[in-house]
Amino acid sequence: MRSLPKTTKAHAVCVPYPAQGHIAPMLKVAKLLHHKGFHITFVNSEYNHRRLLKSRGCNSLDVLPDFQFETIPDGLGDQIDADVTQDTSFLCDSISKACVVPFRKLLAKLNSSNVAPPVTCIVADGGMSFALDVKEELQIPAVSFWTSSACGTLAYAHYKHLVERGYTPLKGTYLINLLLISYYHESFRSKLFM
Amino acid sequence: MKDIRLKDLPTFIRTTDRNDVILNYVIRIIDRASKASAALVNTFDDLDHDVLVALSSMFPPIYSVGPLNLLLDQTQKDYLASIGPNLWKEETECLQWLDSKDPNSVVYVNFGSITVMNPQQLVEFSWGLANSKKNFLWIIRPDLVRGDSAVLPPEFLEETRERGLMASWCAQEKVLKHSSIGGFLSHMGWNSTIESLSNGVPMLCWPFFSEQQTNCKFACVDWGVGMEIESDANRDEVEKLVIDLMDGEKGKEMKSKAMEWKSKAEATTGINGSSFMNFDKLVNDVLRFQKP
Repeated sequence: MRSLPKTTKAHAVCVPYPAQGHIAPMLKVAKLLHHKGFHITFVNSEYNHRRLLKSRGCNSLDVLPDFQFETIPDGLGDQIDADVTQDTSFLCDSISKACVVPFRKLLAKLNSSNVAPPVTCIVADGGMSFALDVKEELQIPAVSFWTSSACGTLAYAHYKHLVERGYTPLKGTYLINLLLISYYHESFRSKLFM
Repeated sequence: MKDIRLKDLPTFIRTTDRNDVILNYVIRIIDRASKASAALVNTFDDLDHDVLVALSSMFPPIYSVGPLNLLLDQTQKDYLASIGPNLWKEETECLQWLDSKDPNSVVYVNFGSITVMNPQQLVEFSWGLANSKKNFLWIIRPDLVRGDSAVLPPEFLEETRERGLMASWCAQEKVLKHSSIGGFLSHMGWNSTIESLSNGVPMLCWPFFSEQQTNCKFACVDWGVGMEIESDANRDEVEKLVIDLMDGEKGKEMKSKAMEWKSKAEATTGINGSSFMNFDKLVNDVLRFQKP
């Protein structure tokens, strides 16, 4: 039995992909929802949470009791704290494998809290699709926020067809055609020719 | 998407490996998109109507609620202002420096949080900016240059002392809103692109990776607010494009187009605008919906 009655306030759990360009627009959505009366739990990776505290000051996130920050690991293991963006490829790989268990634990913790209302909805970055897994279990709505452009998201939606039609992975001819029309940044060059 | 070239598509297809991690990650998250109760995008109907129609046949109900920077500006009280998103410390003196400059006189240069370049590219950009004789605010992250810390030529620093300011990070939305900003040399990340367009600031586009190439194509061809810089541009090309952006006919056309988008963006996020209403619908029809 809980010792205190819970409020009936809506509670949104916001889960950005752990990179600067995804955290910024998700924070805007979280603030807009707070403005609409939602209790907010904003879930950063442990690595980015430490960076945020360092950049903004250690009390900067402790502003309101109904706008809270929590963390889950990103699965990349022990990392030296540095002010650098993590490798996209490593992150995509580890997020897909390592985040769902800690995320479920976090939701269980929030739902057993005497302070916060029960979680009533999830807003997850399109890239954090593991967060949609809890939708059926908890019988709550879960929405995806695609922080890339609409045109980019539409292009991503066609990736499968590009693979099916043999455009990618690149083979000899396509590779040459691409190199003729487009200079590659160094990282892609090394990726292509490794 | 009309007139799209392979080079305009997000760069993760540029692999020869069917097992490439990011390629497969993208395919997987798109496959799972339909599991969501709704999809949310940071754009607005006037800007992306055709794309939104195409997406709506592949995604769950889609809500365009952008530009979020304007939607938040119009509805947000100050009480959450201290909670900011920046993982690097913002250098607030940038804004004071901008105050000292004439309207539309400063090129804002920021390649975002992920772009890396080689030392030679940094040098070409620096001399291109210096030789344009324009004022510039250049954000140089500590990890912008691959494998090394960014080192600018001392002659460049001397030459541009009066008209250039370098900082490691800034509050971009405040910068793009500032009246002294006349153009943005950008990597075309989506936040930068929509914040620039919604503040009426035209862009020079130097896309790095992911969907930035697609954003560049749309900014230059479909929205009329951008000019592309080749990724291996030398200092003369950078100089010429910066001057075109700030003083040229093309720059004026792009500025005028950007101001039109700004006005549409303000309307869509204002009371009864489509993004404003979509956010309300998202809250009332989806997020607050409870199964009986």
